[in-house]
Amino acid sequence: MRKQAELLPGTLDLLILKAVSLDRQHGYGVLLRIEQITGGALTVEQNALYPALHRLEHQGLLTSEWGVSDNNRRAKYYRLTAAGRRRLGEAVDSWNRLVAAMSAAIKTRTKEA
Amino acid sequence: MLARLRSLARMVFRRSAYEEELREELEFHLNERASHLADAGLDRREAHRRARVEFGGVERAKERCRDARGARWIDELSRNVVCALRSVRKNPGFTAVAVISLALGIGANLAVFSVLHRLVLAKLPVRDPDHIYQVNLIATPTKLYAMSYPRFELLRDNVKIFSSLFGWGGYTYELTVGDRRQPAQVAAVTGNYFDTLGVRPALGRLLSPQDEQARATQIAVISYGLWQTAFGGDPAVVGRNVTLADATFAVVGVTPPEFNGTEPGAVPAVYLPLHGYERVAPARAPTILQRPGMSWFHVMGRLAGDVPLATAQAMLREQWPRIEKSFPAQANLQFGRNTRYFMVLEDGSRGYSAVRQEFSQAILVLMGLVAAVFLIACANLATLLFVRGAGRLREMSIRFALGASRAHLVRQWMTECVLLSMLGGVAGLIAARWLTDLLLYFVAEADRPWLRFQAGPMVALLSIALTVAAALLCGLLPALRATTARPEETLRSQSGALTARRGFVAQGVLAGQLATSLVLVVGAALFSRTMWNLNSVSGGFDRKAVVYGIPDFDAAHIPRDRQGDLVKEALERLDRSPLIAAASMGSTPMVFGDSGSGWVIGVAGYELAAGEDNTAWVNIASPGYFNVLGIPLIAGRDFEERDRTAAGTRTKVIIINEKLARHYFAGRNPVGEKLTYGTPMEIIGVVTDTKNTSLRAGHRDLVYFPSSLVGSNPVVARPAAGVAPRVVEAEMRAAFAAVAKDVPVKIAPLEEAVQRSLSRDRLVAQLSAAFGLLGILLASIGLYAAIAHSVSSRTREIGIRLAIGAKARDVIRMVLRESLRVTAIGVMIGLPLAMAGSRLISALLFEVSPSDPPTLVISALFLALTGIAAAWWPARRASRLDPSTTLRCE
Repeated sequence: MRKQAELLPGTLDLLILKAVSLDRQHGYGVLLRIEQITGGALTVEQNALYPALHRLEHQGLLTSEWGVSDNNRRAKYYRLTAAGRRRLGEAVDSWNRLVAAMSAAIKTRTKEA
Repeated sequence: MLARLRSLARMVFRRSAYEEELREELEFHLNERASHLADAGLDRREAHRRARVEFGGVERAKERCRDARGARWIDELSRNVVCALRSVRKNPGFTAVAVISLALGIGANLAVFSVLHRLVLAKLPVRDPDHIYQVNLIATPTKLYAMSYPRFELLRDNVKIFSSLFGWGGYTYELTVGDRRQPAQVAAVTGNYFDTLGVRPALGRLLSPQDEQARATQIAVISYGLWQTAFGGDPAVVGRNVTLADATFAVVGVTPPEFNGTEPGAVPAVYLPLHGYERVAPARAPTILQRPGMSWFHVMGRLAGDVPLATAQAMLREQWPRIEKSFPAQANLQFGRNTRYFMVLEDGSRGYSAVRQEFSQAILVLMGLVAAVFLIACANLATLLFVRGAGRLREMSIRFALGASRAHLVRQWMTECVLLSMLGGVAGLIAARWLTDLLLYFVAEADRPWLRFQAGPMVALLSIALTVAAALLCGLLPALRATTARPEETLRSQSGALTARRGFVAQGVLAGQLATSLVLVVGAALFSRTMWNLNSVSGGFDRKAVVYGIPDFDAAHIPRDRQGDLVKEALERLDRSPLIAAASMGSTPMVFGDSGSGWVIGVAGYELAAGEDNTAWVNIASPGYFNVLGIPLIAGRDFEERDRTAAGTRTKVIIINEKLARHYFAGRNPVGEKLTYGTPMEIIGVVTDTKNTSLRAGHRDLVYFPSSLVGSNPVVARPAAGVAPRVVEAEMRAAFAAVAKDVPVKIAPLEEAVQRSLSRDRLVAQLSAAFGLLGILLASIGLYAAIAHSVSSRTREIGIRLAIGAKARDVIRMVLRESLRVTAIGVMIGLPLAMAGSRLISALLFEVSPSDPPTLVISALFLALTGIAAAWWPARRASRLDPSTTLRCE
């Protein structure tokens, strides 16, 4: 089993937005997709997933519709709205800046040590 | 933002659908997870179990989902609303008092504000109203808001600072549509009137500059209101006729509903081109458009694009006197030789309004009074809620002890206040119309349509603002108080009585309420005194018995040279009647309005000081006129028949009043002296002073000319001893009918004209009295509730007092003392407030000082009486308590 990283606070929203950015997903699909795109390094607590989805929908970043799943069951699918797509772009940018800054900081300290 | 609102709305209105979806969504997840696990080799039941365990608490997830959508907030609100509704329904008496007092408070504010807004605040609904200016004529010291038409033409053609200069003038005439007759405001407007204002027709077309160039006389534009009422909104109204007095006009168009002319308070029903108005106006030859000295035309304009206001003012000031010099000399006769006259530009964005000039101050005062009524209503509700809150103190304390948050309790309380306020606000909106109708009925000013309530966006806005204010004012204080109570203390105290600190706040609210009502009572008393003083002040003439009548011969097409004979004939008939002591003719005091200027006179040998007013007010009198009106002749003789002149010739003799005599002939007998008015004239008599236009104004210099028996001057008659004025009215009507059958005659007691001149004062006096009563009524309800509550929470104490020998009288005195203490505090706060407030209204008072001691004392006593009256029933009830039962309860 690979080592799993802890989810940083606030990153769940980013992961969800990313997970539904390519294609519409139901809640379970979002869970699987996150596992898949992080190579299993990050897992989302199932209990926390739905409140997050509902919050994002409430904020107008996601929209939902009922559809039929691969195994022919009725499922609620989420997709990005235009606002959601914008938010995803912003979140990715700010994440990248954070990562760059953090990495630089960490490298510097390593040299000094 | 929009998405959130939509999401919230879904939570409110489609809650069960949401719950179902939520359940289904989570179930799908669990099933999906289970089949995943089953695929990995677990047996089905184990897979389902594992899926659930992995997921954790399903209900917790659901709750968090709901929270993510603001459901908690919605749920609490709806619970609070249900609670509040139940409480409102369960206490119908309390709800009724609360809603009615708020409705009266809010309704009165809306009613007065509706008038204030329409008359004083609102901009004209026209294109770019901020760049419209009134052009007014100042003839020091008076300002004229109208000029003659030739003056307007002179201004228009010679002063080049306006991109467009327009004007209007008008009066009320009898309007006939089909067989429907009604008085209607008529406005004669320049051809560019509608174009300049940017008004578009609702139907047909409006008047245009081409109409004026073509000197159109037969066409008219009607108002939207008239179109709806008189024509029933007939879409084919264009081409139909309206008749004014005796002239008929064809309708060419209808103004839009929002446009009410440019004179708030005088909304035209019919707009005529200028030359069309000549057919209706009283002056027919020379016509109203030709008379240089007849000031009837209101002028406004838009400045040319790049002219700043200051430049325009300066140019007008500099150029106008030069232009005026070329004006016919006779027009200037109406101004004194010492007066300087010039034109000024003033803000025209709200139109010109004679009604506003007269009433704006009074309306502002009324607005202040109703604002006070509103505060009293809120304080009243606060007291009632407080008293009830005290009753619920135990309930609150228990809930608090059980862990309800303070914020939660405050929110719950506020919900009820908001609900009550909203009920009050809606009821107030309804009450506003109803209140104005009621007031109009009592005020009996049916001819003042501008007093009527009119809802509009601003009125709606105010009603919302007042509702919110009411909720905050009456809810917040008791809410905070009731919920800051320490539960352990309240629960320990067996009776649940008010603790000292809480009682202090309640008494503060009560005292404030009483203080505010004292202010209202003082205001009402001052205005009533003013009305009383005006009614008892002497105008210098007998106003009680005399009846006047004004025939309108022009309307009946009777040539002017015949009119004198007809009047003479009518007077002879009246003289013959045994019911009439005397009849005569002349310009009657109070019948005509104040045109604000006099005529220049001169006395040989009298040196005018710089700036001294050398104008005199001119009146007309026939032989016997002074006798009929009861104006004593103090020197010389009355006019006689031989003094009368034929039409057009100059009179040779005049009578003057005492004031003029003192002014120019100090210490000498003026009889036989000469006075110059154009030509020298001989003074043949002196009469005592009379007030001509207003009972408030001081006396003026007056000159009486002998009447030449021409035109439509009032005929006056005095009844014989023991005959009622009503009988004289009938006699006069008969006399005119006998000499000229179809002549319309306005006949009324002189007292009516006097009363009309006092209508503003009466309006203020009656309304302030009504608001004062309302205020004190509301305050006494609050006081009653507080005292009744205090008595019931002291039942045990009173029972003990009675048991150990206190007399009923002692208990009554004790309760009354409690009420009077609050009242005394109210008086102490209220008196300085009233004195400060009454200084603001001093301009509306007459012969009574704003801080008149008797008024203040009587008002304070009245408040004390109210305090006793409000406490009387609770006191009686307390004194009749049966000690044995009171001690047994609990």
